Amino acid sequence: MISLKNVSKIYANGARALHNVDLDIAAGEFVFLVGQSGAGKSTLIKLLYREETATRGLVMVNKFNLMRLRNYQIPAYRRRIGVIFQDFKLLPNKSVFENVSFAQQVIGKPKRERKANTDKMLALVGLSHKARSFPGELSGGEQQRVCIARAMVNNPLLLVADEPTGNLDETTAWEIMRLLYELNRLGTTVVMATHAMYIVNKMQKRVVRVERGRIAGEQPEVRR
Amino acid sequence: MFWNSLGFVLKQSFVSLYRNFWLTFASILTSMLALTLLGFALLFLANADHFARAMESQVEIAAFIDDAADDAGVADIMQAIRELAGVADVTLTTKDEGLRTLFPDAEARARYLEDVGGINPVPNKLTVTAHEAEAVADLAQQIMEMAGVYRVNYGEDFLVPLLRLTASLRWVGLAVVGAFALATMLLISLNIKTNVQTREKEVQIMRLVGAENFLIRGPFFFEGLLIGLLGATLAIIIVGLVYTWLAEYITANLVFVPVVSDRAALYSVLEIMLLAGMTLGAVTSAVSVRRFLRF
Repeated sequence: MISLKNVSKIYANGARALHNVDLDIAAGEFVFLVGQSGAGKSTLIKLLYREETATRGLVMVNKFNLMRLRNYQIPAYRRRIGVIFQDFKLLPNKSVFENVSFAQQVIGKPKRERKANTDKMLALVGLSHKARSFPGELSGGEQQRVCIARAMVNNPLLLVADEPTGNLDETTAWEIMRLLYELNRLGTTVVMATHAMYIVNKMQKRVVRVERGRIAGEQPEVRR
Repeated sequence: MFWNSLGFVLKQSFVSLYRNFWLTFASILTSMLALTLLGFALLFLANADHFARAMESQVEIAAFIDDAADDAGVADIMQAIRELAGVADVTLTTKDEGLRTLFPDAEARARYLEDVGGINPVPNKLTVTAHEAEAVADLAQQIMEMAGVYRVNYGEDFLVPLLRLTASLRWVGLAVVGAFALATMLLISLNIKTNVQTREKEVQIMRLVGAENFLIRGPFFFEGLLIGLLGATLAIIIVGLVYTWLAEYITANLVFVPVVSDRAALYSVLEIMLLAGMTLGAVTSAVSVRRFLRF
């Protein structure tokens, strides 16, 4: 599913974010990226949703060679992956329903199908009753659930999450993790950057430790 | 797909204008203000030009014909003048008409004729008007060189300063329009840029979910177009009403000041305002959002 070979990333200001990173993630895996702030986790995540391009190396995601992806091909690529963030990134002037529906609208899905999918996803994340609310009227946990619904509405094979529980209290964070766990169980590959070691330790999924732009160690999933 | 996308873009524009109500309101007001200034500047230019034309149209050449020329000779000279390039019109004031103008009273006229020995000394006069005031001096020179013309008068002392004045008036008018057009452009584009910048996050999110650039830029383009259209409509109402009132007032109270009261001229200015508003709004909007669309 994901293959990074000898990947380095140096930003325009000269900062070296990643250095000779090799990483393979199989379809259906749940992988945590852990490490201190500035270790390179977010850069790695950004490479996966093609917000940034590696300076050197090879980045393959689901048969897409992201190093050779043309600008005009990026929207099509992004529609095949789901992305969620610590700060939610919801459209403030659109309702919950519209935020989720929008991701389908941009790929030209018909209205009826959009409505059915949006209703299904909102039910899955437990927010059917908030469909008409606006993001500003929701709690942090609810906003993150909308993000998950939006990220998953087009059935992507890969879900990339950058500190999705960073702004949430522990109880709400577990609600979000339960959802991500369910999605992974249904077949979606999940790559999640996080600081929350209480989650990482409890979930016992594969852990990749990033330090100073390098892969410093790995811990395989504990099969139960 | 195309109609779906167009429908999507249009719907997004209206929804966004409605949901960002105060931003929309401020943008429309700014556009209205800028376009009102532009409208008045254009009307100032039209009036400056109109005033210059009115002044210039009063410049004419008086050519006096030698008494040796008979009626046929006078007609030949008139024809020759008509054939000169730049001549708009030639009219003849005969010796008798000239005398009658000098002495409208028949008794006084008769007395005068008696005093000068019974021969009317007033010459035949040709009044020549030119298409362009700038051509008057040249034409006067050519007419003076014609056989049978013994004197030409065209207000030499008055013409040069007049031409200088009308030229400056036109330049001032153009400068005013240029300055206000620039101000209009800056005001509208700055306003719409700010409008787009406040929604940078929205653009980023649309990109994240895989929206094509035209789907992101389209609503901004139409929003800019609509803001320009609404701002221009308000400006047109203000400029149209105020100018009509002002032109009527000046025509009624200051009869010696030439004012453009022609409806067609006013409509041309209003059309320019409408086009400027819509074009500036749409283009600036689409260009501003482009900055956020680079990968």
